[in-house]
Amino acid sequence: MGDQGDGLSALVEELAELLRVEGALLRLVEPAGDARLIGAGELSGGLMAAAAVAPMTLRDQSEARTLRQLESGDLLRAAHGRGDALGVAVRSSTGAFFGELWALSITQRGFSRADRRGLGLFAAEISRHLDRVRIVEDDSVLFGDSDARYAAIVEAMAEGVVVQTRDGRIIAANRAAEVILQMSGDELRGRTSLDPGWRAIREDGSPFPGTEHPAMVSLQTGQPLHGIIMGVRRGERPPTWISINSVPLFHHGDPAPVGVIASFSDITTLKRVEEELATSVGYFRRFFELSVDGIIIGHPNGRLLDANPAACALLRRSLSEMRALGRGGTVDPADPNIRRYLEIRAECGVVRGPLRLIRGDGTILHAEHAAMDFHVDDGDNFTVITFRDAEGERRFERAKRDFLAMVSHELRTPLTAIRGTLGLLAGGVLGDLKPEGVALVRAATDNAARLARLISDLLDSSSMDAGTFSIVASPFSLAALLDEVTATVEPLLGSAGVTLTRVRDDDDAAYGDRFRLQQVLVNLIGNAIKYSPPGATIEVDVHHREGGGLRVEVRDRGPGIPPEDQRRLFERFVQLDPSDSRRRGGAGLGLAISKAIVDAHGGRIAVDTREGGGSVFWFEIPGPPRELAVVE
Amino acid sequence: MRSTEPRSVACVEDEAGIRLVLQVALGAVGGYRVALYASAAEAIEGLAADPTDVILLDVTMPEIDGKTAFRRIRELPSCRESVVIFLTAKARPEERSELLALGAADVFVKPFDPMTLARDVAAVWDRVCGFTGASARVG
Repeated sequence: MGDQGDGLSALVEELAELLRVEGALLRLVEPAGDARLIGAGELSGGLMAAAAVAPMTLRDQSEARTLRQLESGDLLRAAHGRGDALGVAVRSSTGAFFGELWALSITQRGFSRADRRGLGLFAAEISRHLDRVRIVEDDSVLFGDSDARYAAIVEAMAEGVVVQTRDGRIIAANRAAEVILQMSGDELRGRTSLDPGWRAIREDGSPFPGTEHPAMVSLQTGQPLHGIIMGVRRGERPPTWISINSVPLFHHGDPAPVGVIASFSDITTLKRVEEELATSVGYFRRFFELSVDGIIIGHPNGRLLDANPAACALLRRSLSEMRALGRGGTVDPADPNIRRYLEIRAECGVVRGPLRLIRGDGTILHAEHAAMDFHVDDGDNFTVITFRDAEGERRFERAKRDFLAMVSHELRTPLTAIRGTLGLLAGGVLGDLKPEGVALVRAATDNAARLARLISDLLDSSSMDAGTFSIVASPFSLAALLDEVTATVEPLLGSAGVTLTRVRDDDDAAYGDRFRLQQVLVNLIGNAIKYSPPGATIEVDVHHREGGGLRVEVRDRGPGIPPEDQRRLFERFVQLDPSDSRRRGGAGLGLAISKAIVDAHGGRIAVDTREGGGSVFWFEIPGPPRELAVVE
Repeated sequence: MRSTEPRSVACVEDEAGIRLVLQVALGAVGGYRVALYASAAEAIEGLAADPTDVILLDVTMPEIDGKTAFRRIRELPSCRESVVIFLTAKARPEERSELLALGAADVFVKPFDPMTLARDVAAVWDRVCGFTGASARVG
C-alpha cells in the first residue's frame, strides 16, 4: 500500500506547510481495528518518537481516548513539554469513520478559523483519496492471491484435489476428495498412491498398479497427465470411476518435482450411462445385423447411411453399391404407390404397404415395407425402412386361395349329388316314402344343407384372412330378397316350431350385394331360430333410411346376450358358451362373416338387448353412391 | 324363334351323380326334354346338331372348362339364342360377376334344390325372353 501511504504523506506534509504548524498527524483506523499513523513537519520525528515510545498506547486505545489525549495536548506535552492541537474527523463519502487529521503546534500561537477551514479541506481531500483506495482494497479482498483464498477455492471445488509430497504421501485433500473417495481427510492424509486404502482397477477390470497412478508418474517424469480413468473399489461395493489429472510441483531451480497435485472428478454416472448406451447400441447393432428383414437407414441429405446384410442380400447389392445409390436409389420409380407413401409419411411419419424395389440384377423385388421418419436434435429427418420379400407370401396366399377353391369344389360336387338326390326323394319324385323315410330324408337334407353352409363360411373366412373379401353392389328388389330368405329358412322354421313375421315399408328399391345380404339375413334368422323356444315368433323388420339405405332388425325371444359379450359376438370362431356349440351347431363364423359383409357395404351391425327378453340383431347399410342415385 | 316357355334343356356336367339328379329334376320334375353331356367337347358336338332352349353349363370341368365351352357354344349357329346358365360350386361374388360378364343369363350355385331347379330355369327364361306366365307350368 505504498501508493496510499505516499499520497497521504504528501497531503499531510502539505497541510503542515500551509498552516505553518510544526507538525501534522493523520491517524487512520484500519478495518481490522488497528490504527495507522502518518506524520509530517518538524515535529514528526518527535511525534513519531512519541508514537514509538507509546506505540501500544496509540495503537490499542480507543478513538475517544486518543482524541482526548491529542486535544488536551498530552501527547505533545509528553513529547515536547508543551503544545496545542487542532483536530477534525476524516469520514468516507458514506459517513464511515476513517480516522482523524491533526494540526499540531508547540509555539502555542493558537488556531484561527482559517486554520480550521484549511484543516477541514484537507480532511475532505484525504477522504476522497481514501474512498478510492478502499474500493480497490474491497475488490482485492475477493481477488487477492493469498494462500487462504486459494484454499477456499480448492475447498469449494466439486473436483477432488489432493496434494502429495515427493514420496507420494497425501498431505492435503479437499472436501470433494473425501466425498469421492469416501474417506475422511484424516484417513487420506499419510496414504500414498502405492498404498491407497482402496483397490484401483482399470476400465477392463484389471488391477491398476500404484506405480502407474498418474500422481506417481508425474512425480517420476515431471510431466502433467490428463484424463486418466481409474476405478476405485472399497470392499465389495461397485467401483467409483474417476478421471484424474496430475500436475507436478517444482521449487525454483529444482528440476525434480517436490510434490504433485492430483485432481479428479467422479465419472461413475457418466461411465454407467456410456456403458448402457454401448450395450444398447450393441444390442441394436446385433439386431440390425441378424434381422432377416432388410433394414435401410437414410440420411436427410439423401445419402444411405446404412443397410443391413439382409437388405443387401434381398437387393443383391453390396453395401457400397447401396451407398452409391443413395436412400431412394433402390426403389422402383414406376411403383404407383410411391407418391401416396411420401404423402402419408409426411403427414403421419410412418407408412407401410407393398413396395417395388429394384435388385442389383435389374429384376423387381415385390416387397412388403414399413418406413418411419425420425427427427434428431437439429431437426433433420432420418428414415428407417424395413422390408421383406413378399413374393413368397403372395405365392403362398395365391396357392392357399387356389387350394381352398379346389377343396370347396371337391366338397361341393359330391354334396350336390347327395343334396339333389335327397331333394328328389323328399319331393316324392320317386314315389311316396313311409313316414320314417320322409323324416330320415329331411334330416339328411338338412345336414347336407348345413355342410354346404359350412363350406361357404370357411371360404368366406379365408377370403377375410386374405383381405380379398369383397362385395358386388347393385340395385335389387327387396321383396324378392325377402322371399328368397324366407324360402331358405322355411325348413328350419318348421323343424324348430318357430314362426317368422315380416314387416317392411312400401319401397321395394334396395341397393347392395343381394346375395351377400341374403346370406346375412339367413344367418341372423338362422341364429334366432336356433335360440328361440318352440312356439316363439321371430320378427324381421326392414325399413328404408335416408338416402336409400336400409335398416334391418331381427328380433327374437331367445335367452338374450349379456352386454359384455355383445361386441365379442361378431369375432370369428366365437360361440359364447363353448358347451353350446354341439347343441346349436355352427362353426362360430356366421356373425363374423355377416359383419364382414355389412362392413364391406360401409354399414354397421350390432345386437341390442330386447325389452321383455331376447335380442335384437340389426344392421344398417347406406344407399347407392350419389352418382348412381343421380343416374337413376 | 323362342317359344313362350322352354321345352328343352341341355346339361353339361362331368359328374355322373349330378347329371342323374339334373335329369330327374328337369325331366321328371320339370317336364323338359333333357339332353345330358359329360364333357364340353361332347356338348359342342351334340348341340350343333340338336340345339336346346336352355343350356346348364358346369364351370369346372377337365380339358375344356365351362368358360371356354360357353364361347364355343355361342359360336354355334344353332345355339346363338340359347339361354345359358352356369352351374358352379365356387360362389365367390367376383366369379359370379365374371361369368355374367361373359354373357350368361344367370349363375346357379351348387348344391341346388332339385325340386325348385326347373322353376328357377323357367324364371330365368322369363326374365331373358320377356314372357310371363311360364313359371306357372311347374309351380
